[in-house]
Amino acid sequence: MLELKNVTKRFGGLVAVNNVDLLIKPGEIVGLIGPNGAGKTTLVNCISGFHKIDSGTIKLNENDITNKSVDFISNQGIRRTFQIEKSFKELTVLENIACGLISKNKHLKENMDKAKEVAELFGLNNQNNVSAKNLTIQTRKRLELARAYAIHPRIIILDEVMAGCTDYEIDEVLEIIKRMASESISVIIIEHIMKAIMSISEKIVVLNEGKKIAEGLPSEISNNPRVIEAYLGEELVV
Amino acid sequence: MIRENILKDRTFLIFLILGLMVPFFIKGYALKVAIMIILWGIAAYGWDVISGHGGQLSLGQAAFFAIGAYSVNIAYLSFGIPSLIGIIIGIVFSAIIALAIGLVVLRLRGPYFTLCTLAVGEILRTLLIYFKGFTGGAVGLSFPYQEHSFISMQYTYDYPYYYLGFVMLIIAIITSTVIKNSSFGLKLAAIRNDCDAAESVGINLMMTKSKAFIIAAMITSMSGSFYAIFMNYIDPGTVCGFGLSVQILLIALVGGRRTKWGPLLGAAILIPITELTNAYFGHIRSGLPMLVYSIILIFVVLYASEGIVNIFSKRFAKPIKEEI
Repeated sequence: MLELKNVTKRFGGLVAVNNVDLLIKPGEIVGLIGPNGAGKTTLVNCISGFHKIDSGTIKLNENDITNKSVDFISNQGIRRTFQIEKSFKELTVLENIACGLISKNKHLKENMDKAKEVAELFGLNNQNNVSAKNLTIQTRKRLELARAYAIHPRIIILDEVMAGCTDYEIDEVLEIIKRMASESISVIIIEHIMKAIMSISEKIVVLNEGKKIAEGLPSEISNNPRVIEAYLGEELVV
Repeated sequence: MIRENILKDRTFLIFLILGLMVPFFIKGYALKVAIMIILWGIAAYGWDVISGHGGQLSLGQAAFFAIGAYSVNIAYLSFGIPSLIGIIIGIVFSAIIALAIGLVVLRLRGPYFTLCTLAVGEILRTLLIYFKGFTGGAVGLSFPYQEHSFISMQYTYDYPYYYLGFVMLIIAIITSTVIKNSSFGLKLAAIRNDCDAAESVGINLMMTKSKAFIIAAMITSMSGSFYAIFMNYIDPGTVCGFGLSVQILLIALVGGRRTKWGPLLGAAILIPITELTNAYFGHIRSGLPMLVYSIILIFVVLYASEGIVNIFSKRFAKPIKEEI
């Protein structure tokens, strides 16, 4: 269970995340939406340790992980993907996935074997020995997802993992997310594709100008006047 | 990255046998050049650990080269410690200094790290000049001449130096290959590709980079000690100059980073070129050897930017099936 209390992050005079509370249960899929600059990526950067927060607390299963280092938080079971994908370009698909495992297991051979299993789960197995630099952006994003999933973390944060995907590819990613949730992995998704995020999320959190302006079921959020005004617009049809 | 076991590698075993036989076939000046190739090859393998495998461009390897060189000389001249033990003292001392410096400079990324390593080399050079009681200052230190002394590793013929260097070279090659084929090597590869992503998969950047920096320092120190033993004379300008750091870097770049044979091949190409350009162009005009050397380097960078060893490996490698 991930618990955020009064999390605030400032960049000089700009309050990028303002007093945000959040509770995520095991296996829950939480959609994080909001206009550009709302603080979505900053918030997940705070959770994953890339940004140190100015006030508030972040707890994972009652353990305080506030302002701990990125690798510590990652090893506690919070893994993430990046808005601009960051696969290891020189490394092959298997090596990329094995990188997701080395902090837990030092045996390279075992990690490579496990990586093969994960590659198969993510439909990457016919490209096992291809360098990441030779993959399409969408495949690289899936590879990043596989790398994050490899250790079977408690929480996976997906930052616009579906951007640029075709409808077919979006459906594939949604299937993967559902499978993760069924394995008790909590998923936080930042996404601008409303059709996808509204259909898969059990809970939606809306940020605007760093503040949480709404939280609830997708059906409640799509009818919330504040959310409509700040982000969705009048014409949204889910 | 192809996983391999160096002890089962036929090329390596052939190299080992041929390498041991070299002093039976070449003598005099040619053997001296072979020793210089080994010496600079070792230093380049050291640089390759942090800058090739780890992707952290260091311009301060001369500092560790100097620590190795001065440790041997000071241990023998001031305390009468045999040179072989002096080499080990140099290695340990380099590891400690690398740990201390690494705690500061490895927090930095990219050009900031590079500039700091450059400064480390220059600071040490200044210190070596300043503490003249120990280091001989700008004049440097020289071994008093003794005939065939195992204690100070002085011989009137060259093959003992060759074998001492060859053992060090084998240690450097094995270290580099083991790193490349280990989990540690994969961590370094991840850091080299993307620090943020590496951290996000739980890799401790400081710990991993520090280990690489220390191993690099230890290998470079070994080459510095070997230099001091072979040359019998060291001074701050020669063993701790910026030029030396660049030379080490160039050898690894020209040969091929992160490859088993690259640094040695780089030394085997650049050292003879230096010798030949000095021999043939040195008397015509000062600076001409450097000009010829530079032109050759430009061609290498243009036509073999990934290192000369990769031209061979691409030509002879089995095609790897890449299904896209």
